[in-house]
Amino acid sequence: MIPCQSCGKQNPIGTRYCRACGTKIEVNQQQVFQAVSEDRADAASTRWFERGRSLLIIGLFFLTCALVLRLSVVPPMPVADVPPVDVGGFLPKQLPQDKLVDNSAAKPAAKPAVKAP
Amino acid sequence: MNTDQRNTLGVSMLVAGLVLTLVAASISWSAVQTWLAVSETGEASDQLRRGRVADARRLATKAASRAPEAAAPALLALDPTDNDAIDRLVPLALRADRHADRQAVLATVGLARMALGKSADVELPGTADLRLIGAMAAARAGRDPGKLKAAENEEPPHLSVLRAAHIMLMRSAWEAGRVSETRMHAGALLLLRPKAPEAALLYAVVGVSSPVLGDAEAMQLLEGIREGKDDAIRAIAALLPQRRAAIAAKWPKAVEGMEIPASVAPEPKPSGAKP
Amino acid sequence: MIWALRTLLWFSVLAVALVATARWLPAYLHRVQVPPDFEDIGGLVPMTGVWLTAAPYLVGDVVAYRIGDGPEDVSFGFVAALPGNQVRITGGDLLVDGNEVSNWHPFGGYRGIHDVGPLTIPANHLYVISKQHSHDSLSQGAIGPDVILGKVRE
Repeated sequence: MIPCQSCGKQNPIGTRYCRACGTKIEVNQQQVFQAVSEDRADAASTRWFERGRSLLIIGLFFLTCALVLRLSVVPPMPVADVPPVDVGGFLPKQLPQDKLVDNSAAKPAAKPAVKAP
Repeated sequence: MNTDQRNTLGVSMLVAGLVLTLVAASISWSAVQTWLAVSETGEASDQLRRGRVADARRLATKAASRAPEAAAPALLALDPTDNDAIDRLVPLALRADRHADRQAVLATVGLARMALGKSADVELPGTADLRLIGAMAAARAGRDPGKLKAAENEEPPHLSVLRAAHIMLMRSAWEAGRVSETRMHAGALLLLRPKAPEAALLYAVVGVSSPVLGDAEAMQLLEGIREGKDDAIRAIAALLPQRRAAIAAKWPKAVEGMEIPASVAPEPKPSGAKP
Repeated sequence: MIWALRTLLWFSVLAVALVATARWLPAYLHRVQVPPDFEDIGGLVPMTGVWLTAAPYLVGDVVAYRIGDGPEDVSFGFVAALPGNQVRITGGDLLVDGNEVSNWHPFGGYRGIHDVGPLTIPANHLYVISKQHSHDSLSQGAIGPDVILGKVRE
């Protein structure tokens, strides 16, 4: 950009008359070189700015998706349960004595017992 | 904003964007791993329900490696005979987020230690699990386990703890000759899993010890026992002298060495009648 | 900056859309079909899909639960007992904490045994009764979280 000598407004390189006040713009080569290099630096920083902004937007997008995936879509881990543990078989290890400890069934009548062969 | 400021801002946004992308990738990876772990844990539960313990443990071990902080796969992968594995569960209980997970881990540790003959050494205040584990330890040591009465405001027991308690207490009552207690525990196990492999034995215990059922129906129930039939019938005959005559008619070897009270008919109600 | 506000707005819309999909999709996938030969239970209309919701469960709720591996192997029943309740069969009746469960006679599965239990229902399990006892808790026992699909929503 080249500044107007009269009003100071910046005009693009190659402009002959100031767009603000109409004064003819007189430039020398050094001014042109300086303007060109400033414009290039400006364009470069704009590109960095735009790349940075794009990547930031993409990063935010992925982060949003990842958080939604993690917090809403993935099912919760089921509640833990105690696994089965072997505590031995159902049958007694030794047989009970030949008597009823509690009387929930009727006691045998007082008749002579018959011993099994 | 001048060129330098815009440059700086652009580069900062670039770096921030990269960082956010990496964080998002990390979160997504962890989410996928958790999802796979949840899926494998579900499959492991299914396998366990079908009785395929080895397959269940294999799947649960894979799930636990994906989600090491999760309690559910860690418990399914546990080998209850491995002391070290049991001890490694204790820190998991401390790190568990959910109260239910913490209780399950501690109950597993207590039950597994008790099954190995050691002291449970866990704190489970206000739960039936601890009471049941205590009763099992007492029964194992030959002491009276006491009545298993449900307490108010107590958290209900886990199924495996409840089942283990009924099995051990039934055995203990059977060895002591306590008929009604044996019958009660057998009945509870039957209600819990009516189609389990041991159901025929439990039906037989509950039915044959019933004062209502006749000898003919009682013998049919004994006929239904498949596994370990001879030992089971002998143990039932030892518990119930009033059925020995009927048992001796079909299975004479089952009552060898036992006294057979002559002509005892089961009374319809428990009366404690004097002989 | 305008672009920042615009970006934020689009992200908010995207996040809401994704969360809504994640919340709605599982409910849609959990919609089960009541089989055509299923007797009317609690007002369920056969052939209509019913929506399932999760716990907490109350006595009397109608729940759906898996009885097999296939997607149609689903059964329904009333919750008769919750974790901690005591279930017993006495004189041919099903009692829960001493109260009789009416209209559901349990005889078929217990071969004339009239006094069974009591059983304390364990944690996370339900005792479920339906008209066809071949699939309910009288033949399967207390059903656990691995097979319970959910409560039927009216």
